[in-house]
Amino acid sequence: MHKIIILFLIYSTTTFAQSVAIAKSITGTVKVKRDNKIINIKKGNRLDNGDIVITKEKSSIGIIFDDGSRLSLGAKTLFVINKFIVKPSLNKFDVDIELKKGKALFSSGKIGKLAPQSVKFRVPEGIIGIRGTEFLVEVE
Amino acid sequence: MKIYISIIITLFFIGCSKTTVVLADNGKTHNAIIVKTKKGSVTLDKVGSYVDLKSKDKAPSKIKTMSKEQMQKKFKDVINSAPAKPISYMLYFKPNSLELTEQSKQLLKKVLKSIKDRTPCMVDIIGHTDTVGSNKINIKTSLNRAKYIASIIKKMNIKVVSLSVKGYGEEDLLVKTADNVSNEKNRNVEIFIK
Repeated sequence: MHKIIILFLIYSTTTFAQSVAIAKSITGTVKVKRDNKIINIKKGNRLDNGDIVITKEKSSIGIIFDDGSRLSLGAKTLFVINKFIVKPSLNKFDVDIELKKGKALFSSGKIGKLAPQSVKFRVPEGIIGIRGTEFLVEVE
Repeated sequence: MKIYISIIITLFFIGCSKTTVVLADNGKTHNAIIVKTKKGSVTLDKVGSYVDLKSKDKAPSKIKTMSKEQMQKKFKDVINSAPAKPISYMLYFKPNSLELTEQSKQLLKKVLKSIKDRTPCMVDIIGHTDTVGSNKINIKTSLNRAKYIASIIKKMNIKVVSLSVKGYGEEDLLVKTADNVSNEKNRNVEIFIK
């Protein structure tokens, strides 16, 4: 019984808790909802697939993903990293990110050159697709 | 007051949010996005062009244009908190060795400073090879070169959040050549600092 539990834990951490980015800069208070817990995020902390990033009033965050894509979020923003998979050696590209509320600036990294068609940037009303790009989004 | 708040919440849940999507300047000529709802899609390919989205069941608005100043004003906080663009360096090696060329020895100092300046950061180190000798040995050499550079970075005692080290063989040449061609451009380690 013990063994099964351990195996399951290893499996779940490698599948779901994948680090995909780091917080390069933070102003004010930024939190992440991960595995039903709310964590305070500090400069240099890693961000995972599945993380929900929440910025408070007068707060912002600058993020760099593993492929060099850059994202910054303004105050009172809600952003979800559904998936950020960029693995050129395995030919696996799947980026699915979502601005629920607030403001964001996104600049694509290697994904913009290698597989731009595999990027989905969601907003409440639709989807933004990219062609090697930098863009701003505001959801009121 | 309470009624007012509940109205806002109701509006939000029936999907009356409003989104603005603006194409920003990425410093390249190749720059375009496609904005899609269930009812239609538009392509933005000029810096400052934007559309408003009112609902899933409405097509995006007509394309409008925002000046640089308007962009700066409306998106000040996100523009100011955007991280610096990642930077990449190439270090070159003497044939069949772990010794850097004289020029690259100088550049290495700049690389180390750049890592320090960008802390906290992630660093990818990727070794490449030329085609002199067997591929088996070349893969080993390219990995050893990458490991050698990684060891120098580790010794610096600065906080690198992640350090990835890879070595590529003759099937992933930087400059395509025939077999058994000595090419300095191919004997390199690329350092990608994010």
